[in-house]
Amino acid sequence: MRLDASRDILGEVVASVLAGVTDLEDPHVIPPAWPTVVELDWPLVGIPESAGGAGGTVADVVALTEAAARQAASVPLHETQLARSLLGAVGADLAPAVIAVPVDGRALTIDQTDEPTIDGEVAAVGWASVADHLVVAVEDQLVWLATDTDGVQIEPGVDVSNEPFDTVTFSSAKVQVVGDDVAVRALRNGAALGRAAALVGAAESAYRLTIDHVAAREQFGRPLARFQLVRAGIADMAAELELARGALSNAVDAHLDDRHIELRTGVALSAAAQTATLVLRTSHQLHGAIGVTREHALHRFTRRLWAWRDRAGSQRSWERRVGDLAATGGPEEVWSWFTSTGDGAA
Amino acid sequence: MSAMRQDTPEELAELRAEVRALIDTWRDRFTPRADAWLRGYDRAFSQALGDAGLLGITWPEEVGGAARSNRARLVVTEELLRAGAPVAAHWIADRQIGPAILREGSSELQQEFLPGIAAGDTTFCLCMSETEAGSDLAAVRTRAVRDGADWRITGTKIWTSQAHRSEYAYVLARTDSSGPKHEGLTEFILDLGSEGVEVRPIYDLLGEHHFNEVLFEDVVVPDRWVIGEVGGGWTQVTEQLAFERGGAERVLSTYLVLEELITAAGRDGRDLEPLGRLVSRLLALRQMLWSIASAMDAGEAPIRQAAMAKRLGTTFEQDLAESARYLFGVVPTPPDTSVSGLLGDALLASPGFGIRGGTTEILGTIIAREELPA
Repeated sequence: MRLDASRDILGEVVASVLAGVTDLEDPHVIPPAWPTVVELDWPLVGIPESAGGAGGTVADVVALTEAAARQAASVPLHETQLARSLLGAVGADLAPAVIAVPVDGRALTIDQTDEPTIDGEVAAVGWASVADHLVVAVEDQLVWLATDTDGVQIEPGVDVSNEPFDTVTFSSAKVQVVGDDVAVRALRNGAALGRAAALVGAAESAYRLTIDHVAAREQFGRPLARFQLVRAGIADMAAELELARGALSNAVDAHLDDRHIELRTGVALSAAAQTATLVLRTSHQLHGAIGVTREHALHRFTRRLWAWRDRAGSQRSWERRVGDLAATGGPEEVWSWFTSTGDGAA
Repeated sequence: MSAMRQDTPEELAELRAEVRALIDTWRDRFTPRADAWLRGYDRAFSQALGDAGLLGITWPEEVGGAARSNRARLVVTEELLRAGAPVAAHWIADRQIGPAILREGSSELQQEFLPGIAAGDTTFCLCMSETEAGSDLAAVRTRAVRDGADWRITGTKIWTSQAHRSEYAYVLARTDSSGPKHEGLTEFILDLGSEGVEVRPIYDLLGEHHFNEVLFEDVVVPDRWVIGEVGGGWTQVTEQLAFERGGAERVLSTYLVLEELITAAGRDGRDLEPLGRLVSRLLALRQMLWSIASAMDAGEAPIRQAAMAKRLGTTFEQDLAESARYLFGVVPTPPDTSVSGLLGDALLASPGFGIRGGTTEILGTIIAREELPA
């Protein structure tokens, strides 16, 4: 439950700093909220002070990401944090750079010489068009390069939440290798953990808006909240959110303790994505027509939920991974996972 | 009262090993099955658990308990459930009657019943529901009337699992009809061997006899067998139900099927995504169970979370059985230890999961009440 402690400390701070942020007008320039985020050293949280970071743990990183998503803030915070933590001392003098982290480098190849280069195209990359650097998984190598390196071409796009969603092409682009397969796994696990946190944060806000709406809106002479079917929808969302928060908390513990990281991350992503799906449908349903207007705030959260479920490896691919681990491990192994889920469990 | 022990992870691991070892010595004496906490009945096994100090484990030592944590109880119960062991003889008493007596009963009542429950000797069934009082439990009509130093109970209870094998019944009865229906209810202990008790079987859709109809005709109950306050029954029973909801039996009733699916997926590598989805759900639910047990150990009453765990957990139990059919092509057959027999057992038991102990709808009502402003 170390995540709860971080939530208590950071939740309100983030809410007050990012209150009032609006959707991006131009998704391909540095977001207006970014300088404040940088000034507060948030991109350096989770990185030891000895490596030029701001200290704190992955629990703080997750709490920040979740709280930022609760405000529907468009900032490349988690991506930059993750890249910085993987770069370690190598990237110590990079702040206040924006770093994007293409997770799906399956179509990329690396030419490993004294001056390694990479080739290929990677799509669906968040924030590449405003990034100063990229930290990329290529085969079993983690590499780092500036976005203005020769041979890097970025085709800007947007996702349904109007955040940058770009395609990056590399043609013999020079890179620096900063890690091996261990670092590649850390990138994938870290990205999925951050995505689970963001999904939970945005889903919580969509849920809170729904609570407010059904309490205030009257039909047939009474508030919507008095109708049983409406209440059933509320109960469904509340329970799913509780489940997703618990799974996220457990995944944070796994990262902190370096135990079953991939498994626990997959569980958290699966739970968060399933919760997002339910909250998307139910929050809109209970909002009625007002929820589909630009004027109402609901879309700021739901458009992000639509955009985010498959952004750090698809929900399906993570569920497949958990299934693969279970099938390979067998019943005894799965039972040992079950009985060791919880803080300090036996 | 002795202080509760805060079990360390090492102590919990030792406890788990102990439970497993005991189950292993009994393996050739029971057939693992779905829903065994309601259907698998073996008093000798319950007594063996009692001898090993595994029942009433959270209760004070003075009343036969082990003064251990609720997390320790989770460890014990989940190992028993995974094994599909015959635990029905003690389950209700260990889970909720004992704790209710401990919370509300006099020290004399505690001394009279708790050591026997903890030994696996004293067995209880739950006489709560009536034909006109299911989810609307406060509508019970069974009446208890004072008669000198005793009470006399008359009425009919239904859906009472294992009443035909139990020594005692917990009975919720009306002691005052003059006020609103939530007032005037009282909890009693009743000796099922008393004059005026009749137990009639109800066969469930599996053709099994665990349910009963229990008739009371002027049954004498001594005043000392009142649990807690006369007229305080509604508050007490609500608390009792809230406490019993968040346990591992709300997640693991069909677990044997999942183990078969995992083995099958290991063999042929098919359908890993849905398997991963089920396993993810399972692990996320364990986090909830753990967090509920931890909250109880911290002296909290996690009513909201327990309602959520039951609502989600029993749905998971049903989904699991359905997945076996749809994904893995298992065709349900009458219960036995084959995969198809386990599935048949699980499917035919599954309608009860979302009904007993608070229906999914009632739980939704409780959750919504917690979430929405009044």
